[in-house]
Order: sequence, then structure tokens, then C-alpha cells
Amino acid sequence: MRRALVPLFLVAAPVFAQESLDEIDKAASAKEVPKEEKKKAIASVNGYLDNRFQYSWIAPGTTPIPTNDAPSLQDILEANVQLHVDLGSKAFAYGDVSLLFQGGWLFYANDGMGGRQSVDDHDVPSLRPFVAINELYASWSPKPWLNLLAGKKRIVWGSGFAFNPTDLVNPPKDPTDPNFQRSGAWLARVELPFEKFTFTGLFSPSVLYQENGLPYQLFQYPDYTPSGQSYRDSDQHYLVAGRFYALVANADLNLIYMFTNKYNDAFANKSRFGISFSRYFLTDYELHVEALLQTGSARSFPNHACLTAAFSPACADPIHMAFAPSRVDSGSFYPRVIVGTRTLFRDESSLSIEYYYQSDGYSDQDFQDFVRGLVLLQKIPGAGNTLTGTNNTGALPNRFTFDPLRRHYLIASYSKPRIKDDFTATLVLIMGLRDLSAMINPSVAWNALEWLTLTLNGFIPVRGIPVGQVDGGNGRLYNEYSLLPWDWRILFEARAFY
Amino acid sequence: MRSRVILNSAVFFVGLAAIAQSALASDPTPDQLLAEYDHTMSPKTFDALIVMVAHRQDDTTRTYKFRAMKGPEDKIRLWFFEPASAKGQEMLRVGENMWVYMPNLKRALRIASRDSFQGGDFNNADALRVNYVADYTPKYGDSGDPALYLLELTAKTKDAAYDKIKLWMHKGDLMPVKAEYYAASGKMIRSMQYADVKDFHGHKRPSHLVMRNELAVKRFSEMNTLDMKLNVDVPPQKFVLDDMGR
Repeated sequence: MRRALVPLFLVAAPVFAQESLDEIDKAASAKEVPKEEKKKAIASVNGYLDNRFQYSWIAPGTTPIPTNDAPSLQDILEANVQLHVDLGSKAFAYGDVSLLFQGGWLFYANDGMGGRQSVDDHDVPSLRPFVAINELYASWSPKPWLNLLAGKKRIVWGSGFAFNPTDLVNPPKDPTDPNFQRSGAWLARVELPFEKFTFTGLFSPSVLYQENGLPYQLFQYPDYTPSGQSYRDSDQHYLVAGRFYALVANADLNLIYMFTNKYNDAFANKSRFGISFSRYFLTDYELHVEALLQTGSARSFPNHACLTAAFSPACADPIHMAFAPSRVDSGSFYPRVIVGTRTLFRDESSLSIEYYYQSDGYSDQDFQDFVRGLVLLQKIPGAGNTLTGTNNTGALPNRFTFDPLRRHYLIASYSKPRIKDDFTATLVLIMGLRDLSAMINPSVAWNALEWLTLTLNGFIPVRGIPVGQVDGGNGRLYNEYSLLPWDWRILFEARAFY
Repeated sequence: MRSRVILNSAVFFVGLAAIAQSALASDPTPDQLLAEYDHTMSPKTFDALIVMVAHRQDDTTRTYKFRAMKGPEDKIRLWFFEPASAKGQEMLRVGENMWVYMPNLKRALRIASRDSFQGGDFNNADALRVNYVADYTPKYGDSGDPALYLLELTAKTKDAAYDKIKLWMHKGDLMPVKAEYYAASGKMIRSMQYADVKDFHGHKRPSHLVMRNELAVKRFSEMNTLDMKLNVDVPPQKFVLDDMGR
């Protein structure tokens, strides 16, 4: 494999450096290339080198989540290469791979009195270097109306801008930078595109084991007991989906059916439906709606009885029983819907506003139990780390991960480009409407050169508003963004394209 | 046999002379002239290689290179090759609908016709929606130059990129010479110069367009057509949303 890649890079002259269409077509299809040269694959390469350096003011006293593994200083260096290889005129292979090297320093933990104490630098699994195979697939179109694809690819059908509730397949994107997340899922796809509509069939196996971003067990566990589990899971973990897309009355309409069996969540033999809509109205206003329609919820809910009588015989195993997907077999209807609009003003600034509703979000009681559970778990040595998650998933690390706990959210983004030609100022607001806690993300991007972008980001949680707060049982009041382990964060990013 | 060829040639040239005479005798109607503009600048189907250079306020430039393919029924697809930061981007127009495919996002987003085209002084409609016959009602105006026609265009629909356009075309070869673009307030917001008429595989058209932003004096964008072919046969699936990024 390695040997095969080397010649590809060597012949990876930019296909489109030519000055006429004939030269492009000749390079792309190799129709007029001498026979002996036809065997050479025609490839093009591009990518970027990115460095993110950030400082977070770690605040162990304000969060019930342990901060031992959250570094104050962090640096992430990413080398990305995107390789496109034409395999004749009807097929191509594509790879989008990033190598990530990370470092984290200056750790702090709760000193027991609401303050913080230094923790020695130590090994954190999520900060180890890894390979992010964002996409790696082969695509073949034997007929104009038929496309076959296999490999890893990010496929998004929903119209949501900052968040896609119908997306059960890909790693979640970052609402503060929806352009960033590029990692997809391993899948096989059959697509029949026609002029006004498209049919798609999709099969995706779960990645069950991976190491440093490289998967080595898909679909079904091996015949031995998996590491870290006390039983052998003999289930097949997969998703099968069908989609119908149509351009109707100048609107994009998607109807989606998904069947999953223990595919990245607790649902077994589960059918779910998705719908999305997007259209421009009044010339300049894009309106979109995206909904996931399902019964039951795979979300883990706090067990009220267990948490109020912690360490009782009913809670022999609080780590596993305090939070469990207790509504996974429920027949109740739990839709998730995002509706939003985007518009561009005369000065080229743009505004995006989205409202997100998830009916299986926590109620006030659920959220209070959840927080109290976190507080309790902190008292159990080693338990806290099961909540924060320490293993990377092979996806690019988000600057901010949107993992909504409650039911109602507002996501707004305002962007003003071309300030002094090369600067873009952006303000993103993510607000929980039940408790009015929020994350504010101001940023300034400078396109210093055609191939270089420098960005300065701030992340400021708003969490002191006395609305909808819950009592953590430890003398403190919490709302959703109180759970973040830091008071503020500043991030500088430099990205050089090639 | 030879006499028949001579006879046919004579009939052909007499006919041609009659048509020329007729053309000299009467000006084309505004609708005919506008249709000629559309045919020149955006033929029914074409495949073109284009470079856009955006000159900015600070005297620096940004260069974009892309391939544009137009199919029947006003469908256009664009693929960007340069600069590196835009490589892999694609644009698609199908009727009133426009999308941009962002490689970083791995998906396509809907865009509006009045949005800026790659941050330059053209907007999306300038690049993707050259169908003035469908979008504007033409009438003659006073060109101020006996060698030029002036067409005054008024938008038929809110989806048109501009509320009014003044378009000057040469009476001799019917090539566009310059244009002015106006907002609803009557303020001129952009102006265009058409230059360097070239023959692209039998199709003559200005190859060098300069769009000036009248609201920011130092800013302008050039659009240079490097190559253009007409009557291309493109599968309809190239103009399908799901084909973007493929």
C-alpha cells in the first residue's frame, strides 16, 4: 500500500494548471495520452497545515466534572493531505487524511474548597497523536444515473446549518465552526441521481475497535470477549438507510428512513425517519427545517430514585445504574427538530439563526438529578473519568462540542467579512433557552495571504443568570454551561493551504 | 456540375447581400438585441475555463481559476481549481436555485443570487445567471454615441441580480461594450467594461471583463476567459445537487 502511494504523489502534478479545456480533458480522461502513459494514474493533491494553540482558564470549583485531564495550555498540530486519483473517466479514489500531534500542559484539580490546585503533567490518552482518516473512498459511476461508493465518507443529508439531528452517521460538527468537521463514517452507498430527484441506499457498520484513529474491528465483535466488557456482544452493529431527494418548487426536500442496530447508540432493531427542507424565500432569506422522528430515546437518563438514595442496595453499581438509557424501549414519540434561517445583508455580512428542539432533552428534574449524579460520582475515585471520555474517536478534535442536554436551544451566528479586505469578524451564540446559559464565541479571521489564514477565537460561557438553575446538592447552583470545566478560553489558529 | 456550383454561390451571395441590406435598413428590436447579448455572453451550452482576478482596496489581488459548464435550461456548474484555499469548491445553478459545495463542510449550501462571487466584485448572478432575456425587460435609450446601442433593462423579477442595467452594444458586431448596474434607489453600484473580443472555436465574444465596484473606488475584478467551447454534450446528472463534491 505504502509503495503504491509513492508513485501517486510523484505524478500528482496539478491537473488543472493548464490554459485550455483540451489540456484539462486530456489530463483528466487520458483519452489522448499515449498508450504506455495510460497506466499512470492522474492525481491531484492539496491540503493544509494547521496549528491550534489555546489557553483555558480551568475552573474546577465551578463544575461538577473532574478537570484533572483538562489541560490549560494545549497545542494541536495537524498536517492534512487530500489526494484525488482519477481511475479512468468513470471512477476515482479520494483520500482526506490528517496526522495530529498534540500536547497539553498545566493541569488543575479541585482543592476541596472551591479553589484549584496544580496537578503534575501526566499522560492523557485523548492528547496522544493520532491519524484522522476523514475520508477515504472509491467512487464509480458505470452509468450517469448510477454511482457506487465504498469507504469512509462524510455524507450529510440534513439542511441544518450548525447542527444536523438526522445525522446519525458522522462525528458531530462544531456549531462555532460548521465548516471545520470533515470526518465521515465507513459505509457503502448506492446512489441513483436523476435530474429532479435522487435515490440513495446506504449501509454503514459501526467501528467497534480503533487505535489512534485507525479502525480494526467493524460490524461485529470478534469471538473473544471485548476489552473492558464482561460479556461477549454477538450483535451486529450497523445502519441501513434509504433517502429520497427531490428538487420541488425550488426547494430541497429529503425524506430519510434509517434502520439501526446498536449503531453508535443503545437502540436495537430501530426504525427512524428524517425529513429536511431548504428554500429561499423573499429573495434573500434561506429557510430550512430538519427533523428526526423517533420513538424512544437512546440518551442516558439519570435514575432519580437511585440518585436520591445513593449507595443503597438499589444502587449497588451507581456508576452504571445512575445514568442509563432507560427510555430506549419507550413507545413515546421523541422528535428532534431544527428550524432556521440565513440571510445576507447589503454589506455582505450574514446572519444565521436556528432554533433546536429535542423532546428527549432533560426536564428540570432530570437535569438536577444529572448534576447531583455528577457531584456524587466525583466522590468515587476514578468514576469521573468515565463521564469526561478520554479516548478520541478518530475524528478531528472540535474547538467546541455541542452536546445538548436540555430541550430548547438558540444558535445564532453573525459574520462580517471583508473588513479592511482581509478580516472577517464572527460572533456565535449558543444558548440554552430553559436556563439562559450560553456559550459566546467571538472570532476574528485574517486572510493574511491567499494561502494563509490566522484566526483568534474566544470562548466565554455565560452561566450566572439565575433562571432555571438547579441545586447540585453541594451548596452550589448550576445551569447547563456551568458544566464546562473552564471559565474562558482563547484559541489562536494558523492554517496554511497548499 | 461546375456551373451549378457557381449558380448556387451566386444565389447564396445575393441572399446574403439582401439580409445585410435589410439589417442595415432597420435596427434590431430591443428583445432581439438582448437575445444577441445572451447568445454572445452565455450561449445555450458551453464549457469554459476562466480566471478571475479580484483587485482589492489595498492594491493586492486574489486570483481564482475555475471551469464553468453550462447545460440546457440554464443549468451551470463551476469547479474551482485555484487558489489552494478554494480548490474543491463547486457551484451549481438550476433555474432559480444556486448552491455552493464547500469541501471543508463536505456538503452544499444554498446561496442567493445577490451574494458576492468569491468575495470579488461580481455577484453570483453575474457568474451563474446570465439570462437577461428571462430576467429583464429591455428598451432603447440614448447611447450618446452613434456607433453604439443603449439598452435600458428593468428587472422582471426580484430574483434578478440588479434592479436596472444600462447596456451599451456595438452596432457593427453587436458585441457588448460596457454596462452599468443600478440599485432600486437609482444609485449605480457597479459598472462593467467588455474588451478583447476573441474567437473561441468559432464563437466570438469579449474575453476580458472588468467589473468595477462604484461604492469602493479602488476595487475591481477582472474575468478572463481562457477557453470556451459551445454545443457541449454534458450528461444532465452533472447538474444535480448530489453530484457536487463527487
